[in-house]
Parts: sequence; structure tokens; C-alpha cells
Amino acid sequence: MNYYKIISCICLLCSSTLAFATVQDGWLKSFTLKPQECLIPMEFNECNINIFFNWITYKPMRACLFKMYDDIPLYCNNKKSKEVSINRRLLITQETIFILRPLNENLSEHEASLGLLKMENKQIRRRRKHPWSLF
Amino acid sequence: MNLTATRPYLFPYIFGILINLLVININCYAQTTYKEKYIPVGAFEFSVATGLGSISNPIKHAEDIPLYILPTFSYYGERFYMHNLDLGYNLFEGKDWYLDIASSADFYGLFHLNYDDAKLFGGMSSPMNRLPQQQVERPSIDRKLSYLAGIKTAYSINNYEVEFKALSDITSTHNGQLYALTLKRFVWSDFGNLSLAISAQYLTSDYSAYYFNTRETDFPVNMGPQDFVKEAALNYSGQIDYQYHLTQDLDLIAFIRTEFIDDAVTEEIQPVDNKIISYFLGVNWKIL
Repeated sequence: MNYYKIISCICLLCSSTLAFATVQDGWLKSFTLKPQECLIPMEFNECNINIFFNWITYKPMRACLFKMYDDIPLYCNNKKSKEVSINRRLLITQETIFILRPLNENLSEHEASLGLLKMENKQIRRRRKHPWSLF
Repeated sequence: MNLTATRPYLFPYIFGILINLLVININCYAQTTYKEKYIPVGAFEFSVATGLGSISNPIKHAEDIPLYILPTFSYYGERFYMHNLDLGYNLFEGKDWYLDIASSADFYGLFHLNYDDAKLFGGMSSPMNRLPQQQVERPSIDRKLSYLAGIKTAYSINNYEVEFKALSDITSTHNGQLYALTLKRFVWSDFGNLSLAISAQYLTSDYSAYYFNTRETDFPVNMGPQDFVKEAALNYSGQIDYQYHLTQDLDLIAFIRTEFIDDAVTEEIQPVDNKIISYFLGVNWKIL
């Protein structure tokens, strides 16, 4: 009987712990980057792109943004905040994954990717003027 | 900001800075960029810039053209494209160069617009260039806008581009031609995007005389034997464009452009200022 109670308590404890972890792990409401692809002609190998990163968390917290395989973060918010928007100009040579890593190590990290689209000349045009050019 | 008052002091500096920026090595990105240099076929874009700017009017006694709102629309199809009033049809486009049949509205006709004409550009700027009352005794200068068409080609290497265009009046307004050679440099950086350009424009005598000199028909009575000058003009210009992404849809934009009108035109009967200064500073909202 006692063993049964102990096992029940352990199960209850485990389930509550799991539930707590699940709630805590849902720390991120959204993590987006724009644009989600870089468009270049077939002959080019690299893309220099200005990317807007935005993330929203359920609670004010600190997190760092990394480019995959890089140890140095692209950005870390020093103050706890629920929403962060930054833009960074980056040079990419292939599809690139960005990782949002909370400073609390118990929480999981999240990813978003930026694609590199190489297009034939028939699918892409060189601009003749700036998008906002008057002359 | 009254640029007119500071013109004599401003120009050498602007041109000096521009030429230096064109040749010096700036630590920047040399690669191509998404939607800054290329656009997918079939894409339509529309944006509105609001801010403060002006185009100085070289015609004596005429008012400068204010710039408050600049709508821009563009479309790039497989071969056809349009950017505001510029239309084009691509004949060839390779990695480094392209050849287009191109057309565009005449720039110099803007300076002779009256209020009614200006309504056509109601979205672009406020009413512009009314000849003041004291000009009653002056010759009646009535010039129309023209539309030009011809060929345009450009060659790009790294962040430089050389562009040449040869356009001719297709509206039988002045039957003149325009030839322009432009060197551009693009600088992409974390601090914004810069475009620097210097250009030489050759206007044939029909073209330049129509907009920058008096003609016999401008006078109500026969003025007797006069030399109505009809000379070609070689104008030089420099332009700096700046863009900084504030958000995905909002950009801070600015440009300044100076054009020097050939003395062969400016010294004649219809005196004009020999410089055109254009500038704009504002925020551009990308709607589509």
C-alpha cells in the first residue's frame, strides 16, 4: 500500500514537473525574419542582405540571436523585454539558419531560416532605378 | 532650408565629395542584394515618400518646385517595365549589361509648367511655377512637356555602373535629342545604402533652345532682326541618394542633385540660372 502511494506521488510529481517544463518551454510567442529569402541571379554566389528580426515572448526576458555555427551572437538584448526588433546586414552564401537562444538554459532554443534563391535571368530583373527614385 | 542662398558655396563641396566618394575605397559589401538591385519578374511595387524637398527653377523669375509627397510605382515584367513615367522594353539582359528600348518624360519641361499643368502632378508636389505678375512685359514663354524615347544601355562591374542613353522627342514638341552618359557607384553598408552618380547630358540645339532660350514666337509683335540663339548644351550633374531601412516597410530617404546648365544656353536672350539643385529628405512607406 505504501509502495502504491509512493509510486503515485512520484508519478504525480513527474507529471507536474513535465507540465511545468512544457509551460516554461512555451516562452516564445513568435520569431520571424523578413525577408525569408534572398534573391540573386544564377551566376552569383553571395547575397548581401538587410534582415529584420523580430521576436515576441510571453514574459519579459533576455535572449540572444545567433547565426548557426557561430559562437558570437548577432545580438543580445541587455534588458528584459517582451518584444525585440532589430535589423542586421549580413552576407550569406547558402541557406542560413538563425537561432534564438534564451539566457535561461533550461528553456529551448528556436530557429528560423533564410533561403538563398538563385534565379534564371528570365525570373529576375535588374532594377533600372531605385525603388524610390525621382530621377 | 534655403539651398538657393548657399549655392555658390555648396557646389564645389558637393562635387568634391561626390567625386571622392566615387573613387575612394569604402569598406562595404560588394555583393548583390535582395530587392535593392534585383526584383522578381511580375512584381509590382508602390510606395509613397513624404518629406521636404525642392527642385530649384532655373528659369528667371519662376518659382522653385516644392516636393512634399513622392509616390513611386514600378512594374517589371519579363521584358516590359515601368517606373513612374519611364517605360522600357528589354532587348537583352545579361549578367553585366542590358540593352533597352526606353522612354521617359522630359525633365526640363517641368520648369515651364503652369498651374493647370501642375495639376497633373498633384500627387507629386504642390502647384508650381507660376510666372509672376511683373512678367507681363516679358515675352510670353509657353513651353510644353515632351516625352522622349530611344535606347538605353548599362554595364555593371562590382558596385559600379556605366549607363548610356540616347533619346529623341516623340511628341513633336521640340524634335530634339538627348544623349546622357552616367557613372554610378553603389555602397551598401550597415549605415544605409548610398548611390553616387555623375552624369553628362548633351542636348541638341532644338532641345536646349526650346526650354532655355526665347523664340521668335514668344513675342507678341515682330521684334525685328534678332539673334535667336539655338545652340546645343552639354550639362553636367551629380547626385547622391541615401536610403536607410527603419523597418521592413519604412525607409529614411534623401537625395541631393545638382545640374550645371551649359553656359552656351544661359548667356543668351532668355537668361536662366545656370544651376538646378534638387533635394529631398523624408520617409518612404512601401505599400506594395
